[in-house]
Amino acid sequence: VEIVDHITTSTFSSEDLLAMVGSDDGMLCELRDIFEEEAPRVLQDIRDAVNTRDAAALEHHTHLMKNVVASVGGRASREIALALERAARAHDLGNTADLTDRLASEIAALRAALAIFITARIGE
Amino acid sequence: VPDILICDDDPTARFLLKRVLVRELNANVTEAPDGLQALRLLTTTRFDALVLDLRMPVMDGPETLEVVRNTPELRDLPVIVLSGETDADVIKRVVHAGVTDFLLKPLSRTGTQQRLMQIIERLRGREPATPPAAKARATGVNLTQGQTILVADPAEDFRYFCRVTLGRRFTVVEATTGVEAFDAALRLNPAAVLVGRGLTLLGSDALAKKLRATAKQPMGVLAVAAKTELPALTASGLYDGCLARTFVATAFEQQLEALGFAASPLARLIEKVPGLRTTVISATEQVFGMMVKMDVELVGDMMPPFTGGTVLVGKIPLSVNDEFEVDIDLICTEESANVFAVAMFGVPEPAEVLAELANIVAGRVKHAIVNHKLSATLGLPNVENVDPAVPARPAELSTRFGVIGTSNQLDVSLRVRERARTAVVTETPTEVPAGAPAEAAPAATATAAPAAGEANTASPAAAAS
Repeated sequence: VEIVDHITTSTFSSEDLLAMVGSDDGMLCELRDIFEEEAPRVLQDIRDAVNTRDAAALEHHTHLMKNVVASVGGRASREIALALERAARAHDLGNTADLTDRLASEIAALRAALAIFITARIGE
Repeated sequence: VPDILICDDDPTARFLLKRVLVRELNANVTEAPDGLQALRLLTTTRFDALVLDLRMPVMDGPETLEVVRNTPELRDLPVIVLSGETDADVIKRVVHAGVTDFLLKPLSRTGTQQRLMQIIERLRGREPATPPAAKARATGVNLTQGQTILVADPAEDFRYFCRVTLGRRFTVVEATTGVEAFDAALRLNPAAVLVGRGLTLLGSDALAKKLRATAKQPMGVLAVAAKTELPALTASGLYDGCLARTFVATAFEQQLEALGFAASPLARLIEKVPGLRTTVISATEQVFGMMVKMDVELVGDMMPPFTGGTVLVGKIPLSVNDEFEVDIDLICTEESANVFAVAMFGVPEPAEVLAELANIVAGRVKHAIVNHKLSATLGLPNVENVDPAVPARPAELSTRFGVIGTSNQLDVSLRVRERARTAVVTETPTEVPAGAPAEAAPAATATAAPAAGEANTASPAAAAS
């Protein structure tokens, strides 16, 4: 939780994304599609786990979210997901609702940044 | 075309892996989002390898791996673990269960592709081909423990290798030139001469000719050369046998066995546990990759000891089937151990890191032994400073690893002793004067009992049952 209060990393890293897909634009679009499908679903799972105070489920879903956002270059959202995962592992659920809201905001910003990047790159 | 099953709940990871496997390796890929679905697929379809994530819902990676390893039909399936895991207990659990290889998360296209290609290549040639066994002449080379062997080779590293591998059972004399070797052979009448290539002053084949012409008593003259040279050397008729030059102790020993060398305790253990060396190598690579987060590569077998500065050894004893005592040692400089400790624990605790690493590697070796239906008991780890004044007892299997991109190195060594079966007298014996031959001992009911230590030199006359 403390880490998240001091986040200075960027919402989106094109370097991280290109490390994942290289120069393969087809792969870039497919990865974006998977992200667009997965991120809202996993975010809802996280909200459900926070609401039901299910630490085990929260740990699992945030672990998954961490990997999903990292795969498209989401640095800040990855850190928030990691903070949530650690809080869940420590059964420290006090601040998880606020963190989840911050995660949702970061993911929205990441989607916007990703869309701009792909448009600039391939005009899609 | 390999059939690969990817088991990961993260669709982005499955996507990236599938892309690389299909495009770069032309693989057929099937996906499963958790361990349970993977196991269902594994029971109905044959796969060449399983790529397994550790953290998953329903049935996680360690559970899935344990089921695979405990299922006779799946036990030998190569399993590549996907790990971003930092929990040492989880890593220990999967290493212990038996991982074939690993991929570190986060994945990246280039890194994942290179690593997967390495892994697939390694899987294709999983058990390195043993050099063809040398054929002895009809006259044969019959060597017994304690005899003298002359190693004539210009390369210091190969002479060192022979000193270590053969020195346990034979008196090894070394020569660096053909003239030196010929002189030593005339003076010492060795039971065998290993003739390497590239000897100077008196060339290798010239030395062989002179030895055959002048030897006063039977002397095995053996060529040691690259595999490609063996057919021509065999055809030359100059040698009693030809050995493929290797620095893999087990491969070298297998060739020597074919020439009549007495089997070493290591060779006898490997007969019971094939693939022991592969297990040691893969366990060390996995432990470093997943726990220390450093990639290591093989440097060689039987390398000269570390010199300079303090050298530490992490030791674990392993008792096998009441037949063998195995010492598993991890050896490196204190400086390197500090680097490993900082990477693993965040603090420079060299002794702790060596003990921890030795413990996990030894656990994997034990597991491999138990899989071959032998019993094995691990002792407690211990870390000592190596005293340079005391020569180390030579290892039977010693592999050096280098940390890629750094100068840090580590040796993993196994020393194997056979437990002798010594007589335990169960009736009151008549007193025998000290030094009396064993045959003079009075008849008594004796039962065999194992005795630890350097007992393989015990007189066979003392053995019972």
